[in-house]
This record gives sequence, C-alpha cells and structure tokens, in this order.
Amino acid sequence: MSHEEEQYDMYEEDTQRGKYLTFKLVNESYGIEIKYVIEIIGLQPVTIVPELPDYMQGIINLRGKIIPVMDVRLRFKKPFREYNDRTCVIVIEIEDITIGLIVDSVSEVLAIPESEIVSPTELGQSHRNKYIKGIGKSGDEVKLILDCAKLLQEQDVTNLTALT
Amino acid sequence: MSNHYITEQMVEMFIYETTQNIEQLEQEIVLCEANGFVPSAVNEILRNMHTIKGSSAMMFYTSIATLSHSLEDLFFFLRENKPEEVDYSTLSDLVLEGIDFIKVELHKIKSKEPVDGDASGLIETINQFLAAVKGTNAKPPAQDTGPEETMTKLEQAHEAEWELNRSVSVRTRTVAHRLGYEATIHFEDGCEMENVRAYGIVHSLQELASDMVCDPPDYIENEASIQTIRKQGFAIRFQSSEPYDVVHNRISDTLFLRSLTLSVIRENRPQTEYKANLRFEDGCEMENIRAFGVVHALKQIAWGIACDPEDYVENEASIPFIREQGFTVTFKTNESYERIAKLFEDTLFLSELKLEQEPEQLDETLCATQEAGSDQLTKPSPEVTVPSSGKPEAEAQKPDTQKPDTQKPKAKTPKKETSDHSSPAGQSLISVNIEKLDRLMDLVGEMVIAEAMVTQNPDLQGLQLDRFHKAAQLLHKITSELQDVVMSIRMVPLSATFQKMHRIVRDMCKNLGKEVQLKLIGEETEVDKNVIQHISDPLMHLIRNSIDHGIELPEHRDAAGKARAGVVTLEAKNAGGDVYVIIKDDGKGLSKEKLLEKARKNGLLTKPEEEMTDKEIFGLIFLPGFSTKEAISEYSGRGVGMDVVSQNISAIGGSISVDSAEGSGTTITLKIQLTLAIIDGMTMRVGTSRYTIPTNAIVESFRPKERDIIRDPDDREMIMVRGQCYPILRLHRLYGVKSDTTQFHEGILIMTQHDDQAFCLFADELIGQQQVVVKALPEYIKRMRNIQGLAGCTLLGDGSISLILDPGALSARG
Repeated sequence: MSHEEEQYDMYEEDTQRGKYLTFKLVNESYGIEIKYVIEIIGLQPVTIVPELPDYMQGIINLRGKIIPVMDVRLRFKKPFREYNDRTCVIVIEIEDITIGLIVDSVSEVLAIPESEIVSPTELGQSHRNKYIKGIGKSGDEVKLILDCAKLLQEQDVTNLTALT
Repeated sequence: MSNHYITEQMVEMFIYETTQNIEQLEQEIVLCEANGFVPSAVNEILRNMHTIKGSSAMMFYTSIATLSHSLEDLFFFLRENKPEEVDYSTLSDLVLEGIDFIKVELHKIKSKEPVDGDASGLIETINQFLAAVKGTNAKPPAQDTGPEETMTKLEQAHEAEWELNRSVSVRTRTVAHRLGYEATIHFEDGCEMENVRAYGIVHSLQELASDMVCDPPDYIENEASIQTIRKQGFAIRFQSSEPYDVVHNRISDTLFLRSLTLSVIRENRPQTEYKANLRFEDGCEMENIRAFGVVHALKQIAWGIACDPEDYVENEASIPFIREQGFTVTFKTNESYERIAKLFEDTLFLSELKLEQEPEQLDETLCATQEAGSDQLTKPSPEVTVPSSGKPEAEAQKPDTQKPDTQKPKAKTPKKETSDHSSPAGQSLISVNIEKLDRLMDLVGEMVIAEAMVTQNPDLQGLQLDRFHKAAQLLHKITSELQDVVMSIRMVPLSATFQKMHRIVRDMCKNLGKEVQLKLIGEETEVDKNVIQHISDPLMHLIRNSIDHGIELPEHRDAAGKARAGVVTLEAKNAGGDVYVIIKDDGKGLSKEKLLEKARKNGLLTKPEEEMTDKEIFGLIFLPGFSTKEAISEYSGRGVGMDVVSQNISAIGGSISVDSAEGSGTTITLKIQLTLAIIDGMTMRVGTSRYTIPTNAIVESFRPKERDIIRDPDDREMIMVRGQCYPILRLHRLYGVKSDTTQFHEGILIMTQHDDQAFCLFADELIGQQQVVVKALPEYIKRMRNIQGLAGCTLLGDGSISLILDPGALSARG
C-alpha cells in the first residue's frame, strides 16, 4: 500500500470512528458501527433456503449478488413480527462476509463518543449479553452497541446443539 | 536478501513461468528417456534450465538457481562433448528429482512459506555424476582439444554466474597492477545518518582509489537512500593500485561498521560504454517491469545507466513505446562483452537484443567480437526463446546439430512421438487471473438475466412492438454469442493434464519392472478450467491402477501371448455437452468372481449376487476400502484411490462406468459435463420457492393418477410407471416448504435419473426450461451447513432466486 493510500484510509477511518447506525428492534434501540454498513435496502422477496436455523431467513438477490439474510429478532429469540413497509435490511460486510440483517426500522446515524460507551462487563454478570459490545448514551437515550462479529460467529455453537 | 523490488506481480509471473517450464522439462526428460537424448532435445532442456535459472536468480531463489545451474552444467557437458557412455536412466532420475525439488519450492513460494529447501545434497550427487561421466568419457588430450576448451568456457560461465548472484567471496587474483574492487558495507543498526557515514568512507578512499561508483548513487542528496543502505548495505566499486589488505584496512577503520565484504573484481578492464536495445516478445506483458529487471541486474556490473524511455518504471504509458521501439539502455562497465550479452540473454521473453559499444573505445569491441564470432553485433539470442515454442530455427545454425546422429547413445530415430514433442501447449498465450474470468463469467450471466428482464418485462405484455422485438432479437443474438466466447475462454485443452501422465507411467514402470506404453488420443479436447482441476487427480489414480493391477509383468504377458509392453490408452472426446475421458489398458482385466468374493467378504454387497449386472459388479471397485490386491504397494492396494476418483468425478457432476473382459483388459469411461458454470435447467415451483434441476437429468414429467401411487408400510410413496416402480420424493416435505399442493393429481412428477438410479420429484408445477448461470450459495450459508441436495442457486429472468438441485445427492436421499 502506498503512503497516500494509507493516509487516505486513516482519514476515512477517522470520519467513521465513533459513528453508529441505529435501528429499532422490539422496544430497544441498537447501534452498529458504521464501518461495517454497506447499504440499507427495503425488504425484498426472500428465497427460503432449507435446513437453516429459523433466524436465517434465506437469500436475496442484491443486484446480482446473492447474500444471506438474518432476522435479528429471531436471532435474539424475540417473537417474530410480520414484516411491514418500515422493515429494513441493513447490508453489512465483515471479514469478507456480506450479510443482510432484517430489523424493524432504521433510525439514524449517530456519533457516540467513546467516553459515552459503557462496557457491559461493568454492569455485572446478569446483564451481560454476548452480542452486545457496549451500551452507548446519546442524549437521554440508550443504544445497545452490537458486536457484529459475534453475531455471525456464534452460529457454530447453535449449530452443534441443533444437530445433537 | 535484497528483495524489496520484487512485487507480488513478479512473483506470480515467476511462478507461472517456472511452473510451465518445469512441466515442459519433465515431459522432455520422460520423452528423451524413451527416445534417446537427441541434440535438439538436449538443447531444449538446456534452454528450459537456463530460463528457470535466470528467472529464479533474478527473484533471489538461490536454491532453485543453483540447482538448475548444476543441472545445466550437466547438459552443457552432454551437448558439447557428446560422451558415449552415459547412464541415461540415472541421469533422468537425477533431473526428475531436481524437478521435484523445484516443484516443492514453487509450492512454498505459492503458499508464501519460506523458501528454505536445501538442494546441496542433490547438487552434490549431480556433480558426482557429472564427474563420473567426465571420467569414463575422458579422451586423450592430444586427440581433441575441444572438450578442454569448452570446459574452460564453462568455468568462465560459472564465474560470471556467481558474481551475478552476488556471491562475494574474496578472490585474490592479482593480475593487473590496478585492481577493480567491490565493497559492500553494512552499518550497525541505529547508528543513523548512514548516508553521511558512507560519504566518509568514499572520502577516505579517494586518495587511494579512482573511478568510484556507488550504489545507491544519490546517497548524499537523497535522504531516502538511508533506508536502502540500511537494507542492502552501501556498495562501492572502485579501482585502486593498492593491494587487497590495505584497502580492506582502510575501509574497516570506519566507525559503526557492522560488516564489510570486499572483493576483487576479476580483471581490471578499461571501462567501456555500451548501448543495448532490447525487444521483448509479443504478448509477454509488463514490458516495463521486465525492463526494470534487466536494469536491476545490470546495476551489479555497470554504472552510469541511462534508459530510454526514462520513466519506464512509473509510467505505464511507456509500455507501448517499449513494444515499438524496444527498450534502450546505455551504461558503462568494465566487464567483457560476453558477460554483458549473457546477462541480457538471461532476461525472460527477450526476443531481440542489439548490444553495441559506443564508438570511443573500439579496441575492446574488436577483441570481444573476434572471440565470439562476427555476427555478434546484432546477435539473436538463441537461448532465450519463449518456453515451449518448439524448435527455433536458430538451432539449425549451431554446429552440433549438423553432426550426424550416429553419436547418439540410443540410435533410435525419433518416431511419431515427436509430434507430442512440439506439444499443443506451444501457442502464444497470455495468462489471465482466473478470478477475472470468473468475474467476466458472472457479468455475462447477469447480462443474460437482465436481457430476459427487459425483453420479457410484464409491462410490455399485450403491446404491439415490432421494432422493439427486432432490436431485442439482435440483443439476444449478441448476448448469446458473447456467452459462448466467454465460455470458450475458460476452456483449456486437456493436453497438459494428459502429458503429466507420462511421468507417472515412467516412474511406475521403473519401480514395478513393467513395460508400458502410454498412448494419448484427443488431448486437444477442451474442457472448463474447473473441470481440469478436478480430473487431474482421478486420472492419476486410474492410470496407476491400470498399470499396477491391469498390466501384467512382461514374463506373464509373454506367456499369455501378448506383446511384452502393455499399452495404456488415454483418450478424450467430445460428445454433445459432455466430454468422455477413457482409460483403457490391455492388461489382465477384472475378474467378476474375485470382485464378488471380495465384496462378500467385506459385506459390501447390497443386492443378491445373481441380480447384479456386469456394470454393477465392476462398479464395486469404486467403493471405499475395496481392493482386490492382497499386498499394499507404494502405488495401490489400500482401496482409497478409486474412492477418490468417484468422489472427485461426482463432485463435478460426472459419472464413471467400467467395462472389462478378463484376460484382455479394462476400460474405464468418465463422462463429464463440458462446463459447470452454465447449465440447461428446468425450473419448477413448490409453494413460493423455485427449484431448478439440470435438464439432462430429467427423463420425463407427468401428472400422476392417484391409483398409480403405492405406499409401503413405512409410508414411503412409490409410483408404478410402465411396470417399473420408482420412489417419490416430495420436495415440499423434503425442504419443509409450505405448499397448498399436496395431492399428487394437483401437482406434477418429474422423473429424474442419476447414474442408474431413477426417482420422481414431486413439485407444484413446472415453470419452464432455460439456461441458468450456476452461482454458489453464499459462503456464510455454506459454512453454516452443507445442505444435501443443493448444488447452488441461480437468478431467474424476473430477478428471483431459484435453488439448483443436485440429482446425485437427491437420489441418495430418495
């Protein structure tokens, strides 16, 4: 990588740092680091792929690219709700995997300074959720910051239990 | 090692070129062993070796370079001296061993592991062999001075080589009163201001040296050179009348000196200015980088280098200029003309070299040209030709090929096999990253879909659009043609894969004491690149099997009234959308009784014996753990190989059939689809889901009558069609799809056949037949679970996704 590119990358990272795309799920507001987000699309017809866990809704055609979509509600074992015109798919890319996350609705992009984010470990054992990286405060609202990598990786465990 | 200038691209190129060269060399050796080492073949081998050596030295893979160097020596001796008694079988073994070594190293380079192979043992053996050959073929010196002369030439060549590789051992050959020196200085880590320190050295040397050249040259002004000095050290070349130790002491006095290598440059020749014009072969690509390679090599022996075009490294636009005008470089050096010419000739893909001395100092030119012959000024470079370009005419001019062939060790005239010799791989080719082709393929696939989306758009229904339809037809014609072309780009002839088998046959014959001839038919048949990757291994196993199990020992063959040498035929041919690869041997064939007995013993029989057809009995050999051989040999007997074959072949949707007659041989036929990327598919609907199945797997489709359905006590459904009973697979039940059509008379049955198994799929309705582009399921889903029966997915004309069913896997579930 050349020098300028490096600088450019750093610059870009800088503008993205501390920014979160927030979305609604059930009654809570969640945040995803903006650097993972590729785009937000309306819900498209989903092709069901058999033999997958229920939260994997199937695959969609994103302009010729076929990507899997995951219902985040079901992922968090929340009750399923019929999709409506507020339902959105947030397309994220993480470690070369592109995946769509189905959420109730997308709110806004927020800057949450690091100092305003509390690590969940500070809240004690009972409140810890493996998918939550931290809890951010913005004004008088609270946003749960999602750990995208965990969201995708944890499947292995569920998979094994599903098999046995 | 100073490999900072080696880019990824160059490594890729190196791997590509060397792999090709190695493969060619391998074929060459195997052929030669069979037909004798004719001069033209030896030349070809030398050329290959030379190219490998040159490029690996340039990339600083010294182990490969030294190994190929010693092999080159060996063949150089063979070419020049034509020794009469050579153990050609040992020779071939040695070379093949060397080839294997280089293959391993190449693999390491590919997987980015450290290239740490040690070839010294092998080189030692090669040298011993060479010495032995020299010993047995030594001639009294009075008779012929030829060998000696060439030997000294050879040694000189060595020396030149070694310096090129920067082996800077100290040579103390004090011939002239003024000596040329070369010093490489490394400073201690963290001493800072390396360039200023370097200046100090240059300054202190000034009083006893002259004609100083430094590398990096701009060390004083350019701060960036500090990095270079840290990495590569600071190099100075100069001339001095002082003896070695005085100079050495003088430089050693420098502060913060970590290491010093000081060497005396061979003879102290007056410096001469040269002008070289290089042309690269058409289509070799990246001319500027190749030019850079030349300049880099040149820097080691020359100074005052000026290039035209000047900005060739940064400026991509210089490539066309280099292509048209050639790459011109002027430089000063005190090396001999041959040395420089050799350096240039080591360049890969060089097609033409003009090396001239600038007029001032003609005396040197004269002696140089006298030594090397009069045609030197515009010397064609006979040694540097495109790998695999058959036999260039330049060879004809060489004196040795004109000698009568009687000196050949085995006085066989090359027979029709020589047609294999100038193998079909020898076309002018460019290499393209397969990823780019895949991408192109994807794009074309998307375009085909987009075209369908436009021309079959529901908005157009019921409209009178004559002109639109005309234009749409034209578009359709172009897209399908484009699709064909893209497909054909991905097609690769099987020849390279087939040729590899020569080596296996040779090695096995040697080890097993059998005589086998390998016949190749239809090697120019083309298949998709992916297919090639999948059939290379199976072919190897099948060939091994044929030789190990099929072909008998020569004595037994004699007794059976067959020719001593067995024949294994490898044939490829096209038939419709499929390619057949046939492996045939004239060995002892398969014994049905033995197969059955073995299967009985291992409990592999699934059917009563008397009901099994011949095909089914022969098919037993593909079961895992099935081997009729009692003893496990190096090659076979574990019952794994054939399993690999069937796995690999079914992975690409192919099928295998075996036919054999006891006593007269076995034929194994692989049937493989031409391409995997686009299939002709039938799409069906189940609930809201769509599924596509390859059309060639479908026998028929029909709406069943309820009374034809049979249910067994386990509630498995079957249907009777024309007296035959077929199991029914309900897709909606299999994949848990919600569907309103659960009654057989409402939906449709699709009879599907895979190999010999037929079954019926039950779907709601058929949507239609169309060509579909096979896409893999997303990586994330594949990682999550391997879904049985799904081969991938595809986009339909309306933009929706259809899942592609794999009849093979479904039949296993059915």
